Amino acid sequence: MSTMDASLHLLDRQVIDVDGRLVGKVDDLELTEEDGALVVTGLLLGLGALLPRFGRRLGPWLNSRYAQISVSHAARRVPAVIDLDVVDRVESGVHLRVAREGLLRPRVQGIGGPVRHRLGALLDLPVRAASGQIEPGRRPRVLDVRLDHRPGESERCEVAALLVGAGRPGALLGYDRGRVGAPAPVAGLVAWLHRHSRLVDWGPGVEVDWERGEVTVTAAAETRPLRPTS
Amino acid sequence: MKRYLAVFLGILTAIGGFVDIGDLVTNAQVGARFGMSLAWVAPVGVLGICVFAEMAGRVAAVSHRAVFDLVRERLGPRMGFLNLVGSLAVTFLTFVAEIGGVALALQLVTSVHHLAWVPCVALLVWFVLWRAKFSAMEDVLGLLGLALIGFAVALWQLGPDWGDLAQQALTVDKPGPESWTTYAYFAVALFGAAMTPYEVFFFSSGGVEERWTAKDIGVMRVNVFLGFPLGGLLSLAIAGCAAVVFLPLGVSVETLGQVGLPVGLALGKIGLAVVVLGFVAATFGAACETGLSVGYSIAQYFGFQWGKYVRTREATAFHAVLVVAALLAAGVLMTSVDPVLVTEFSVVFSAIALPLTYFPILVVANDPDYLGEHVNGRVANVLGVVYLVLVVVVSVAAIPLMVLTRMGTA
Amino acid sequence: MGSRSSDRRPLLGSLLLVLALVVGCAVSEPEPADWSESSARALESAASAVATARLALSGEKDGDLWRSYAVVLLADAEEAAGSAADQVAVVQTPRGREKRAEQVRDLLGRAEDAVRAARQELVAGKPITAERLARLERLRQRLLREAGR
Repeated sequence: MSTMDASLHLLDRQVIDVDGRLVGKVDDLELTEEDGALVVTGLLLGLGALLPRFGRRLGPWLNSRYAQISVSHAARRVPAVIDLDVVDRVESGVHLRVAREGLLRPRVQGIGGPVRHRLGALLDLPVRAASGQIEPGRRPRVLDVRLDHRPGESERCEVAALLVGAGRPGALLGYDRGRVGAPAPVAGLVAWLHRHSRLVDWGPGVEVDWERGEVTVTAAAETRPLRPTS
Repeated sequence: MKRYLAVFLGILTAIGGFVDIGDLVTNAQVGARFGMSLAWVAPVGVLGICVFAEMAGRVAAVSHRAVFDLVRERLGPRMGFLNLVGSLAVTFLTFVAEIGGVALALQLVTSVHHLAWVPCVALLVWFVLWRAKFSAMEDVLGLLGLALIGFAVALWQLGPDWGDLAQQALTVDKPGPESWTTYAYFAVALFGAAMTPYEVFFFSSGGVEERWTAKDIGVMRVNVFLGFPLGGLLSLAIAGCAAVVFLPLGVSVETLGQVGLPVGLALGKIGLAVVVLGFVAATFGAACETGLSVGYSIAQYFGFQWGKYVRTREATAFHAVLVVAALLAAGVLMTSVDPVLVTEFSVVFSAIALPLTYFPILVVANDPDYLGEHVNGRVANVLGVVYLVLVVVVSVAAIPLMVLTRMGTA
Repeated sequence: MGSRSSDRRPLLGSLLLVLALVVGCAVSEPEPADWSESSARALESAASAVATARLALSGEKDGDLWRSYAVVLLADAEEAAGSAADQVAVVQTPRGREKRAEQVRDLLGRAEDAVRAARQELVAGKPITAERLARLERLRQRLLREAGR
């Protein structure tokens, strides 16, 4: 089993096809609800995925202006999706096992299909926590999403925990993983700013209200500090 | 043997490619007004660009990610976009200045007004970016840029009082009538001229273009730590020539013709011709580099195919950006704005924009996910943090100094 | 409270606009000290232009520059001398400095004329005399002296 942080290791990475040619950036991730779990099922590419991530007010505004440029396109806001099955490996870029020609197309979603979300809609959501779970008064938000990847029978890559803390997604700059500790002044500053940030395990006690845009963490949820050692 | 030749060629092109219109104009201006009293800025700036370029080059070699890939990966789409806009504006301004510089240099040869040259130069730059092989472009222009060594020869021929020059440099002996704010403003401008952000965008993207791997880190370091400082010496020679010829007469340098004048006086027509060839090569090379950097930055932010390592039709959007950039730059120059003025702005704004890209590179250079065993060592990090503080201070101070000194005219 | 303060906003905005227009359009008479400073600066740049012209001519005379290079240098110097003259001409002279202003304008005009004459002679292919070089040098020194530098 391996873990990775969705925002740190996948979002905004370069997508590269089997011949080494560039396809685009991972503008967002597609999350699908499967019996209680939130599973990563695809990479989303295109301005329709990128623009909404510009912030909770600016993002939708930009996206609607973008759609307005050509109102005759019905699917203008719908980003293209690359299924996770065609991802070969994730290094500093995301390498695919297919060629890029004709690769990008939007997901065709039938009625009654699975419920899908975007990672971008989960990041930056305000978190309401039961007392004692997360330092109150610091306007905690979802900073990143830790993913579990189980090779083998199910091959699923699913949400395992939420990183909750003050600031914005990306504010940790990668210093939360415990492997990066230099340069000392920068690492120290980030660690101090995030001394109250917590990992909240996905499962009972964690509710995401996608409509209202809010995460609730009850007393039943498991929380722990970012770095296992400290 | 072949390998040593390649390393040697790399150093030579790094020297020739170091100087651009910003270095030419700023160093001559400062030499004419302040003598060698600001000479200390050149080594500070050169070491800074070495530290920055070495980190970016190492990341490019090991992870194949160039500067704006990293900016977006670390800062996210929103901060990354602001960063892109800021850096792009400065790079484009520099692109305009370089094309204007080529046109001014051609005017010196032909006495045809530079505005007549601008469309031809823009077209030629675009053609080179479209057709020429990456390594050929870099090598030919870098080697021709070495003609600027004429400045060092000229300084020696002018026979200055070396002791006096050294004393000006070592005692920070500012000429009496100049104020300390003006002095500080020109220090910022010189720092910006030496540490132009596009050099690093180009350097790291070039590493990806030339398919560097971890094995190339050694050669890359030699190029950076020998080529850039020797290029910095050329900057000092330009300042020195201006200090010797212009400072006693009270001449202020406002044109490219004045920059080359001391060389003519010292070495005659042949020397002048060599140096003017150097002007054309250095500014044309830098125009290609900044033009490509505009395309690299946008493509790396949005993720579409870039680079000259693929066929043109595999990177259509990238080449479209280059066409638009060349057209826009020519358009800006055709408003008859003075290219030297554009240069003065571009070096100061370079200093302002520097932290935007410097900080993310410093962070990534410490991340083993990207670099494995090649993460920053202790020396790189100590220097990295010292320069982080320095570039932030310079960036914050630049605009107030610009206003206070009315761009150095007060 | 909120509605009242938002009512005031347009009023405040128009007041600021009027203020800006009044300040921006008023004919400003510079302080005598500022005027001296800016005329000194104009004299300095004229001296710089004259010095450049002299270097260009002497370089051409000694065969150190080719013709087109010297012509471009002189044309640029002429432009610089012209803009130095404009710099003083467009500023209102403070009271009590009229005589001095006259003197400065006259000097700047002479600088511009001298550089132009040099350019014309060079373009016409007339030989460059030592006398002309010496005159330019004297003019440069005079300009710097008047600038108080």
